[in-house]
Amino acid sequence: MRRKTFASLSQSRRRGSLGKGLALIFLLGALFVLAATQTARAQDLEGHRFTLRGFGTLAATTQDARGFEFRRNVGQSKGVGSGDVELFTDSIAGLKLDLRLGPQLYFMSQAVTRLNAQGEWSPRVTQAFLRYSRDESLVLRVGRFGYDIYLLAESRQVGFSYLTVRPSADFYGMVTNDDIDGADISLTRRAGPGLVRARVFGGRGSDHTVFADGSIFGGHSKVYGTTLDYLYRGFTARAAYLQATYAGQAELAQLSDVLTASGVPASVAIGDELRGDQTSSGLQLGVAYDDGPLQAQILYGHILSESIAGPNIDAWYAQAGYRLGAWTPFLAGARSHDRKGIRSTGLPDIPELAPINGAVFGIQKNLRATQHTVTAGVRWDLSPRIDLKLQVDFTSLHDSSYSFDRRAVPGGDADMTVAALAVDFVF
Amino acid sequence: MKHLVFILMFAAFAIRIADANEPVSIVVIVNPASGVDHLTRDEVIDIFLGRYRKLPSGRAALPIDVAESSAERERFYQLLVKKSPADMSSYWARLVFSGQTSPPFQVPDSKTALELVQSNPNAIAYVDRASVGPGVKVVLEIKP
Repeated sequence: MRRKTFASLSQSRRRGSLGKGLALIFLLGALFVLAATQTARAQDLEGHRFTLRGFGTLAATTQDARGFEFRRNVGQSKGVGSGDVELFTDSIAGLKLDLRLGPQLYFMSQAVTRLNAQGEWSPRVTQAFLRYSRDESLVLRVGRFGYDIYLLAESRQVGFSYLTVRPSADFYGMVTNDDIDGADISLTRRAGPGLVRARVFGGRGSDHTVFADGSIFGGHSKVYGTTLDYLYRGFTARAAYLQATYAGQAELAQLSDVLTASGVPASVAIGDELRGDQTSSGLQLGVAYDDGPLQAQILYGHILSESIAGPNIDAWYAQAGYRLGAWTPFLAGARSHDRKGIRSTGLPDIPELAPINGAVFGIQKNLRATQHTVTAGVRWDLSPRIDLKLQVDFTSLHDSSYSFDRRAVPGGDADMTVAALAVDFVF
Repeated sequence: MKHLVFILMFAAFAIRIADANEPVSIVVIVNPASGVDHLTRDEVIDIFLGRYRKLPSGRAALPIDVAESSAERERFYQLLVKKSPADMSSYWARLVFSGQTSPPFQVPDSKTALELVQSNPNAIAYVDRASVGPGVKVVLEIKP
């Protein structure tokens, strides 16, 4: 009965999303035509008070793991089913309007449409900020802007700006929104033959994570962080730190009270962690080389959370591509690993306590991220503003919530091959 | 004597062939009032790639690109950072769409670039060596 209800709901969602899918295809088509035919117009706008730019990716994605749905990140409401070919996973479109208010002052705004946590394509303003810079050595921004977590491409939404079809799901899959409402300051100074750039940012972030049961965690957080880069010719080295604090939630507080009241040490410890604000922090170290035909990067990420309500992950990512004329074949490898096992409440496994044990287990299960992927692909630059990409990902799922596990009996290792064909463009 | 004349003629012919085959180098030019006599390759890379737009004299640097379709622009970035037009477009897409920085000011041709550098002490541009005119100073030559 439950399965039938889910199936009919799924069908009605499919019908609803069909129109939206067509609207996206139409929008992407219009933007693609603009990119192909009106390059000169975009150039003419250079140096004027208004600059209109756009970008988009139209991608068909499929995978072969029966019982799974592949997602690009945990903010997507649904994934690609086994044997299905879907456009929603990797397709995206955006427009950017920049307004020059003076020689050193700009207003920049950007709206993006992509599949969101609610299963909709409603455009979202991802940038709206004032930028002040005299000579790029000091840059101040106030408003909504993205923070640095991508070593070679500061925005994961612009597929044309990077080699792969999508940023690694293993490494970046936990990030649902990479913008904050706040302020940042970036300072660049010459250091020897290269440059040192330090950036500090802070503000309010917004996340929407979709769990396998369809529930959505939507929360605001106080975010602050810093990045330190060293740039020398084609080399970029980065160390970055980010901390996000979420206000305590009523559901977690209730669960905390119950666990604490049990008096069982393991439960009390978990209950104490769940009380009040929840903080997660991340450290990222990376080196990138982008010179001539060779583009390579290696990244290490470490996410630490104070309670079971946040991830505790180590992640690695390495990628290399070599341009041969208009073709750039690339290889990548990624690994995400949960540092901690799933903790038990220590409460007896009896039906009366099943809701409590189940809730504690469910919270942890929803944040698991142990998987690894090997990626091979090729990018073909059709013009300086349009590319075509073909990519295949071979993923080994161990215990991960990035993809939905819809098997009759969830759990256990599985292999998934994801293939995608994408067209990216900017104008 | 005959041999000497022949050798000189051959040498002159060889030099002419070499000259004809040698691609013209690109030079980076600034306004004489910029206070800059020389720029290193790294400094030019940082200015044109939007990393650090400050001249050694302390002035803000205003880099100028010629049209994307021009052979001069393609050759400049190929010589400077070994990047194709598509690579450069991809590079700027990373930065522009994240609001980090903006690409160089774009003009239709070298003549306009030259005029801008002549009239603006912050401007910096690249032209073929053969196109260098009065009122600008060469601060770096990038040879093939």
